[in-house]
Amino acid sequence: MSINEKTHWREKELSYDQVIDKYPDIPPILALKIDVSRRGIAYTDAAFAKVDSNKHHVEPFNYMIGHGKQISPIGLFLRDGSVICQGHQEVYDWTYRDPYILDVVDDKLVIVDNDRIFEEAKFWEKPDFYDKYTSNGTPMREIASARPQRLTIAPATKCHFWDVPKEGCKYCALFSAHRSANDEGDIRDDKWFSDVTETVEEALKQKGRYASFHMTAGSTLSGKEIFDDEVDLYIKTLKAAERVIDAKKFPVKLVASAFSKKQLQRMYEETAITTYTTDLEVLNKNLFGWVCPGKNRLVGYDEWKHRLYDAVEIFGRGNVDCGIVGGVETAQPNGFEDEQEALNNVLTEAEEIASHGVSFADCVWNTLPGAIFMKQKTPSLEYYVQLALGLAEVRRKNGLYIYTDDYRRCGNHPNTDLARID
Amino acid sequence: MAVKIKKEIADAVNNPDNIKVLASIDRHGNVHVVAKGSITVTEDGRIKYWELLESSQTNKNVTYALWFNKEIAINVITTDRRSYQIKGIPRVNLNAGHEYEENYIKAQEKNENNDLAAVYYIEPTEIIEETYSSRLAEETKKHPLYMHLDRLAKKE
Ligand code: SF4
Repeated sequence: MSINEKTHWREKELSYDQVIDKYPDIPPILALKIDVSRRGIAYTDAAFAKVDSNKHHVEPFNYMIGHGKQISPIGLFLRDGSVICQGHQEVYDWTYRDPYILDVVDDKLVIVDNDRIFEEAKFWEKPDFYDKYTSNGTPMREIASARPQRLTIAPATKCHFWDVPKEGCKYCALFSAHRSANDEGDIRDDKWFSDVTETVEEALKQKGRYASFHMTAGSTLSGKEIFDDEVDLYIKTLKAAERVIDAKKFPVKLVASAFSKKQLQRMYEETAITTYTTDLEVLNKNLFGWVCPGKNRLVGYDEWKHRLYDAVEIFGRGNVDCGIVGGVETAQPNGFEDEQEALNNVLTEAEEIASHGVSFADCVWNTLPGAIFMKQKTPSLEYYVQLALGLAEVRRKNGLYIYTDDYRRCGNHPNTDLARID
Repeated sequence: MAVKIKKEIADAVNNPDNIKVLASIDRHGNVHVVAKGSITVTEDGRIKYWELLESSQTNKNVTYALWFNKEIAINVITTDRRSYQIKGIPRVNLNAGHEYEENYIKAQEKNENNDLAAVYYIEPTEIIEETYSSRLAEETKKHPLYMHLDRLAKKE
């Protein structure tokens, strides 16, 4: 029995075509990207046969999540220059909707749903540094990863909000290989920092490949003040990269914990960064406590917001972004049951936060294995489309830009893709 | 529907001595026109150009046209004063990958200060010969009554 025959989800929400008709401001190709991000995409054998590990960016596992069986490309390119940041997704019997299918027709990779071809797609290409080794003998692919236009380093592979069982964010599958309290994640010693320098140096030999240097990691709570050690780690990592970059400031996308003003000041003064992203994840104080219990207990919703506003004082309006997991406000049993009510709530709060100079980076909530919320039902495509359009309007109204979380330097946020035509 | 560009016009577009301009509209319908020296016709009959400025109005407008299936227009003016208008719909924004990187390197060889936002590929949908002498003959044939009478006055 197919998933749809079990859940009848197609009869319960507007179809892709109906959404496109109802919301003429959403580019059809962006609506497709949102829907693929929401439902996932499963590769056929023919699609897997197209994978050339010499040419395409494949991982033996999702490097951020840390488990999975199949070697898979980690993302797709669309013809408008946007990306879908998802590899093959297994079809699980507990999911509410069927994933899209990546298939091959007329020798081309195509995104298919219900036997209809939507768009041609391409696998991301392998970074040139991927098969190289540092002078320490470390494979460079273990030091850095990449999207088509950004170089990514994860300085810490453990998120310490999980140190207290179940205090990590409930939708999160990141770093789920390192969740036990006695697992410190991968070691970052002097050897690792010199590996970073060499890997960045090698990566930059590929001309035209990288438009941003991206760092993100799990939260590190230790230090004299909470997050002090995380700040130290980012500064050391950036300094390792800066050794081979001839500029005081360059495009760095940092997605990190909510640092205090003193910590942010340090980061701004001591490193190349000019923008900063920290994620409130869900724009509702009560739901934040339920969805992100660790963040709530150790920092709190109001303080997290405050730290965003403090960051605007240092980095300037529009250079501070707040990441959200769009749709998670409808998780049950505590989230909004009514999508319209959820949307009004999110957009009202977004308006208030944006008036302080903060832009938003909206991720599409998808239920992933490894997450506490893995068996939840995500909202309709109509909801995600309204959210992307609504957040884009909030940004425009407040005269804010989006830089390092945009379609190119990141690529994972439907609302910031819309900034391409502003 | 895609149309084929005749060799004579493709040659005109591909000649670097000729002037090429690109006109587009933004999402509110405001028009914008700029010179684009990099416009060429590819071997498979598409229009290709380098968008060098990521934050330019043209980049936004061409993305808008790609997203919503709208036309943009280019005009090539040759050194011997012929003019051709080609309308088309942008189909591909190539901004990463090895094919893009080859273009990026070539753009930098032209001018080391160049960055490259994207390589656009445009499917031609309509071609109009805009050379004044041809257009005059064409319109006069279609609308012979559109003229000032003084032009018909008997010469002394
Ligand atoms: S802070 Fe939350 S979302 Fe980020 S890695 Fe930790 S648990 Fe996951």
